[in-house]
Amino acid sequence: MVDREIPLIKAKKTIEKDVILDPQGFFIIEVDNKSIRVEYYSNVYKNKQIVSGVLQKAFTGIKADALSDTIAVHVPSLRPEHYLYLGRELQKAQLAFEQQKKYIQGGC
Amino acid sequence: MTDDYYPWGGEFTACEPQGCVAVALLNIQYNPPKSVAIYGSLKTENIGIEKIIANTISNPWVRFLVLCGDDIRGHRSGSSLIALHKNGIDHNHRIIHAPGAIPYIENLKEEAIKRFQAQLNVIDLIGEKQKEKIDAVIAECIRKTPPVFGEPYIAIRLKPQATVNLTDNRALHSRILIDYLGKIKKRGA
Repeated sequence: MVDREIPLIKAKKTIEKDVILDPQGFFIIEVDNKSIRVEYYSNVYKNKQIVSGVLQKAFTGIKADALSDTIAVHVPSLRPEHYLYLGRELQKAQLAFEQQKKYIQGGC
Repeated sequence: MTDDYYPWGGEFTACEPQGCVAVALLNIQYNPPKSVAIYGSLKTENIGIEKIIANTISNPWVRFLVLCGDDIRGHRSGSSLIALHKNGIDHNHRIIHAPGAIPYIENLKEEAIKRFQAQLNVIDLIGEKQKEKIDAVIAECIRKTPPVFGEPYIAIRLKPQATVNLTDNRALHSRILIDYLGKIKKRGA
């Protein structure tokens, strides 16, 4: 006898062509020897395509958790998968910063 | 020092503050001599170009921009930067005759672009990857000892913002407890 059945969902990565770009904008993450810098841009559309962005806010820090928390406060309403992507990338950026390695921002 | 000279910041290396040469690296592993003012990679034909412009016109000592290495496939960032210097942008903010896919300038005023065109001489070494040849061109630029180009032009400055630390649980009122987001966590005793 089973009281409750809970769905067990196997993880599957969204393929790149199916990734939905966030209408709220995008981020550029850079690492130098002093800090991790994150720039937030709103989208610029031409002919219904995102071609660039307008810089809205910039964040600086050395820890992924602090940057994530601060970005969540200052840039609300992103798509959930965008926040998750940012968390992953910021963790990679922190690792690169701490190990003084080159960081290259990955895709979604 | 770096923030004063290059107020937008970015992934670049600042060397001699009064150097007259900036170097934009395309697909190339190359460290310019420390006598240059600044060097860094150029990747994209939109924001990448904007950062180079902002971080060169902010230092009036910089009078030459040397582009070297193989151009970025698809983006054609190096060629797009040369097109910008030569032709400027159209009413749609697109770099005129740029070969890149999305060469749009959205974060800089036209005045900043005009300043870039007037202050900088762009040296086209796209395709060149030999260190000795690039070093020689840089040395030649430095030998010219051009005059400083007036006052700095600050296109974008990142202004530090005061932050309030609300991470503790002290009561701001004897009967109200505030959480770290500033929300009321508990009322009354």
